[in-house]
Amino acid sequence: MPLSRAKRWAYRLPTGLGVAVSPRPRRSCLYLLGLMLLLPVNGYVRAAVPADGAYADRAVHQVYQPAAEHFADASSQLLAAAERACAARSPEALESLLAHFEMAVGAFSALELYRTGPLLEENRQNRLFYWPDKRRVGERQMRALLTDAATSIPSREDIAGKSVALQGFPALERLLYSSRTPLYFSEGNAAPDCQVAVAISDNIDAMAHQISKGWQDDAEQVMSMLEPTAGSDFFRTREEVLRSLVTQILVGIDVVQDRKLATLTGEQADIKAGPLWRSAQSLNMIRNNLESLRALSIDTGLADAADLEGELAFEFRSADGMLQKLQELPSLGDEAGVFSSDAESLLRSLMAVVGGIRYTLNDRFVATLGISPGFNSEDGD
Amino acid sequence: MPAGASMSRRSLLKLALSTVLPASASAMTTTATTAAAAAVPSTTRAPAERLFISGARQGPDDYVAVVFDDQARRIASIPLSARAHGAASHRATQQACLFARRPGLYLHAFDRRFPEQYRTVKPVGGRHFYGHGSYSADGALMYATENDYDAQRGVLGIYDTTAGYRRLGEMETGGTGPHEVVRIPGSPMLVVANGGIHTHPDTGREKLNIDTMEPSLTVVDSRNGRLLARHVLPPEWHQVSLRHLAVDADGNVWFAGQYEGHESTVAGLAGVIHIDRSLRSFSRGRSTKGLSLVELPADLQLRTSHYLSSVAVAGEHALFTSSKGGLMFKVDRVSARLVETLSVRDCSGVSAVSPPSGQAADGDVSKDSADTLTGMASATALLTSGTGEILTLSDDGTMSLAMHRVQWDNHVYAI
Repeated sequence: MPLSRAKRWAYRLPTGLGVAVSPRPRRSCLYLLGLMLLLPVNGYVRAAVPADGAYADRAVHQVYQPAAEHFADASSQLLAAAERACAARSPEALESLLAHFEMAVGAFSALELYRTGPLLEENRQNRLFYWPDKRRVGERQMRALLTDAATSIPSREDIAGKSVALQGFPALERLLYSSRTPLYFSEGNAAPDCQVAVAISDNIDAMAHQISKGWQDDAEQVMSMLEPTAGSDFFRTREEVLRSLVTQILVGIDVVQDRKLATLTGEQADIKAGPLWRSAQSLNMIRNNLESLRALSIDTGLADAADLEGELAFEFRSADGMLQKLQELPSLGDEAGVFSSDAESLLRSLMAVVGGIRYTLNDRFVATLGISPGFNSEDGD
Repeated sequence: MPAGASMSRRSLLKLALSTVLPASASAMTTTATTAAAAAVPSTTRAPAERLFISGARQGPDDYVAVVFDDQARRIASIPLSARAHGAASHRATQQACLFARRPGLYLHAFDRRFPEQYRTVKPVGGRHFYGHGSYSADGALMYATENDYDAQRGVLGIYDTTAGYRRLGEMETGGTGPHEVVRIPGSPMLVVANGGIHTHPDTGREKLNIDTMEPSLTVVDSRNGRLLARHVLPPEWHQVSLRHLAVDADGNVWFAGQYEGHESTVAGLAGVIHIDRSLRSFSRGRSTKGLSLVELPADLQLRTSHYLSSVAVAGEHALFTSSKGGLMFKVDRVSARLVETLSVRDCSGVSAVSPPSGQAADGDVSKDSADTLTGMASATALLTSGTGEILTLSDDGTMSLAMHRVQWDNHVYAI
């Protein structure tokens, strides 16, 4: 069988780099030189993307800022809906509150994996979303909080000073989706739950606005991301910015597959192990998580620089389609938390597609961009 | 023998008991490098209850050691001439040490409250550091793993911390390529992981004896250098380089290894030595009892590429990281069985987090302290990653605490 053109030209370098080069000396030298410029130096960054910072500009203005503003808006609406529900104590107001809760969860999930700067400052990520909570800390804390609330309604500041397990969406979900909720939110009921729900919503809203502020153009991290300087505490070079963006994408896809989807697939699959399962928000979260990674990899121009835009867009679209189908199922499973066969099959396929995205990102996206986010894995001791 | 070590120790101890803190602090201040002295922090800095140190890479050939607090806030950065590896500390005397990565040519000794004011100690001729060390119970001495590279002999360098880390002598570790050393609390026994791999500065980090390597775990009496126990793995697993150690509350020592061979499944990557049984069964240079191996499933072994990066003990669990596998796993201390595996990309550093005295270490509803706010209340350990992330580990799993722009190096230590 004749060798392919690539194989006829290929030589394996003695260094084990496995790079194909032309046998023609002058051309091979030039080609090798070009490749070496793309390869990591000492395992560090040697970016193949434009050095003008355009990707950072797009990350800030087309990805981070819109996501943060959307979350701030959704949180404000959540707070308003909580206040209305508390005042009206009607089924309609409660229904509106639940709808706004789900919208706010979606908006949070769309920036949850941007694990940098404003989301991590003051431990906001964990305060907004303390999960998993295997030891049911949230439940214990909430019981104590409601007991205390009977005599003294907590303010936002009070909530912000309490355990992470009481400050964000899981705590609010526990209040809103408890089987007793309609009773507590009903007319004439003086139970403190809705006031606590307002205080938690207020706390979420405050954090959402702090995050949004942290992504504004005049925020120190943003200025540094757009114009890195040698003395900065945030970013000293454009390569550091690039590595930060790529790390968020890679760690993000790990989180989606290993922490979230893993609870919904395999032998241990359990609807009730998923994030925010009481409000059936597990899939909404994962869908928005993936959309956020799509935006950070594609809308920034990074996927295009890696010549993978079409491929990654297709893979993200496939995953989104499967999630949509899952969300359209009349039910994911039974009361005991066992998935239906339809849901199980779709989740298995989704896991495979997300695995494909992960492979593309880890093995090709990173390599083509010339970034080596690993350090210990490449050179330990 | 550690000639003179035990004799010196008596006089040193007397000195140490009377002047440990002032003497060491003063020595470090006066010998700080010019660059470091320029960055001297205010002496009014309150000593943090919990501090951690880790080496890190900031850029190509740009290495630092970073001290951070339990909320992952950077307290100090120490520029380094070469990549760092392990660290050791002695809380009662506030001393700490940072070791260069093998073949290490420096150790930096400092007061944990003022890490920028460090004293640099270089290895004596014919030796280089291996990257780890441990203090004596009273903090008067520090033992560093070193390579007597011409003799292909592992030694523990003995340093007098009260006299500017003057080297008093050395004692044999009972093996080649000593990597980590730990002291059994409340005793003079030092446990050494002899990786078994011979290296020589002339050939950098090249491993020179993979086919014939002989790793071992040894227990050495720090008072006289006597070998008290020695474990080796079965011959078929002689290529498991035993590297990292952690002592549990019962005084047993957990170890983590890195396999240099080509089999798909290996025994001895992780395990524990029970000191009492190891000592009792020691005869003719070898202990016949006291070594237990952790059974790791084949798929987990493959995920780790047979490479464990670090080990720590937190509460009832031994925690192992594998940077190559992008994971950490927990082993029950009593049963030595695998409890849980968690994915953390490029995860390597792991350190136990001790709760401040008098505070509960879980999500106690009565405790609305700042610890609960950060999630540290329920954390049993801290993890660091080459991605720059610092995570807490609790029974609920991992939580991201911070993302720094540096890439955290192999180990993190509570100091």
